[in-house]
Amino acid sequence: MGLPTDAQLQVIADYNNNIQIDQKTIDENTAAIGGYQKEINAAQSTIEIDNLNLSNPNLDPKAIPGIQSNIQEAQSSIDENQSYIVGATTAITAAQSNMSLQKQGLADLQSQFTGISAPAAVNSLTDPQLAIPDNTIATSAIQTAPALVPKSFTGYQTQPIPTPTSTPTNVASPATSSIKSAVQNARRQQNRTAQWNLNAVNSDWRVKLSLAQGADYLYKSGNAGILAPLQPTNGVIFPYTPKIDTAYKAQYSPYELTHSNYKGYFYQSSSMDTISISALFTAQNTADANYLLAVIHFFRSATKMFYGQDAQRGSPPPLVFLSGLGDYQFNNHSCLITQFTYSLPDDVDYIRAQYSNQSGHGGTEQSNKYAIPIGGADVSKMRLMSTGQDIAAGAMPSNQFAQASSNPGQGAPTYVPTKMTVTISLLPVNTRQQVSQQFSLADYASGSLLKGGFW
Amino acid sequence: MSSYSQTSPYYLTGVSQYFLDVMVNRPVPKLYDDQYFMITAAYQYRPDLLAHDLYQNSALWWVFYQRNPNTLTAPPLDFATGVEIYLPKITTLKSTLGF
Repeated sequence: MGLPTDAQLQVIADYNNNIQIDQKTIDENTAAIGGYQKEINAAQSTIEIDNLNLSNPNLDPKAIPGIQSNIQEAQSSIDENQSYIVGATTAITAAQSNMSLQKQGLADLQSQFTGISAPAAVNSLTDPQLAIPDNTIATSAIQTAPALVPKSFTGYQTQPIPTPTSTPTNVASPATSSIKSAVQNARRQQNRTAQWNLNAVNSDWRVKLSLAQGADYLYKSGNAGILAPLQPTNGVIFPYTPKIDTAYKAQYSPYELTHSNYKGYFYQSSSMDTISISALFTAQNTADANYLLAVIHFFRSATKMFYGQDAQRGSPPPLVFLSGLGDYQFNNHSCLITQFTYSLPDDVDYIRAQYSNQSGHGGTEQSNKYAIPIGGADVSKMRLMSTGQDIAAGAMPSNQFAQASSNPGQGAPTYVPTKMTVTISLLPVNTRQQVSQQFSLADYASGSLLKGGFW
Repeated sequence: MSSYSQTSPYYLTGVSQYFLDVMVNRPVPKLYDDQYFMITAAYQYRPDLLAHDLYQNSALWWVFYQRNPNTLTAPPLDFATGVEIYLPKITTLKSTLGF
C-alpha cells in the first residue's frame, strides 16, 4: 500500500499503451474484414454474371474461354480474400485476448493504489464494475489489504518488475476476488440506499386510524356491513391532511417557602393530553359516499363497548392505532376514541351512498371510480340515468310500493354530504408493560421508541 | 316466412323469390304499466340507441313505433326531443316477438 513509485507508474502507463495498441489492432482488422468482404461480394457477382452468359445459347463460342478465365480469376480472388479474413479474425482474437489480460493486470495493479485515481484512459477501458466510486472500493479494499499485494510486486526492490508485454499470468488471483468482493459490497450498499430512498418516496404516509392487527370486529369482522369499504384500506384513511393537535405535559406542584421571593416546584408526572384530529372528507361519487358513510359509522361504533349479544360482550370499546406522516410522527400509536363529532352541513349537496354487498360498492351510478366505462351496460345505464327519468334497463316498471324506487341498488339509499368535517378526540394509551419494561428516556429521545408506538 | 330474425319487423313477412311480400305487421301490445318516457337529446333521432340501452339490442328500434303508432310515424326524424312515448317492457317483447 501507499503511493506508487515511478517504476510502478511506468508499468501502468505501459499497460495502458498496450491496451490502446490492441484496441487499434482490433479496429484496423475489423475495418479490413469489411473491405475483404466487399471484394468477395464483387467477385461473386462477377461469377454469377459470367455463368449467366455461359448459359446463353446465343453466346459466341469464341468468348467462352475469356469468360471462363474471368470466373477463375474471380474465384481465386474470393479464396484470397477469405484467407485474409481468417487472418484478420485471428489477429482480432489475439488482440482481444491480450487486451483482456492487460486489463486484468492493470486492475490488479490498481488495487494496490486505490488511494490514487487511475488515469482517465484506464477507467474507460477497464471493466465497468470498476466504475463504482473509488472511495467505496478503497474502503473495502483496505480491509483486505494483505491479500491484495500481488506476488509480482513483493520484494520489488530486488526483483525485476514484470513488463506488461509479458502477459501477467503471475497476477495473484486473490486480488481479483477481492476486487469482486469490494464491488459486490459497494453494490449492496447502493442497493440498500436506493431501497431506502424508494421506501421514503413511495411509502404511504397518509394519516390513518386502524384496528389492531388481529382484530376480528367492526370492519374486520366477517359481516362488516356498511363498514366494508374500510377493509381495502385497513382502517380510516384521511384523504386530506388532517389537523392534529397534541400536547405533551410535565406537571409540577409548587411549594411556597415562607419568607421567599420565589416558588419551588416538585415534579409530579408527565402525561399527554387528548389528541384532537380535525379532518375533511369529501364524496364525489358513490364509492366515496360509501367510504364516508363507513367512516362515520366506524367512529360511532368505536365509541361503544361490546355488550349484550356480542361474543366479546363486556369488552370496552376497541383500541385504534394511529399512523401517518412517517415513522417518527405516528407509527401505530395506540389510542382510544373518546369523542367523535361531526356535523351534517346544510349548505352542501348530498350524495347517495348505497350498501348492497360486502365489498361496500352498491349498484349505483358509479360503483368504481377507477373503472373506465368504455362500453356495455355501464354506458347504457349512465345514458339512461342522464335522462333524469325513472327508466331502468328493460323498461321494467319500478316497484310502486318502494319509497326509493329510483335507486338501482338494493335497499333504501343513504345520503351523505359531499363535504364535511369530522373531529375525533383520542386518548393516548401505552400499556403498563410497555411503560415499565420497554421505556427508556434515552431510547425515546433517540427516536427508536417512536417506532414501537410510544407516545 | 322470411329468413329475418325474430327481432326484425319483417320476421313474419314472406319472401317471394328475392322480394319481400306485403308486410305482415308485428304489433306490440299496449299494457297499462308501460313506462312513460319523454325523448331527450341523448336519444334524439336514435331509437336504435334507446333500444340498445333498454333491451341491449339496437335491432329492436322499431318496437317504439309499434307501441306508439299515433305519436311516431316517420322514423327516425320524428323520434325527437320532447316527444312523449311509452316504452314496451322487455318481458312483453320477449313474449310477443318470441326471441
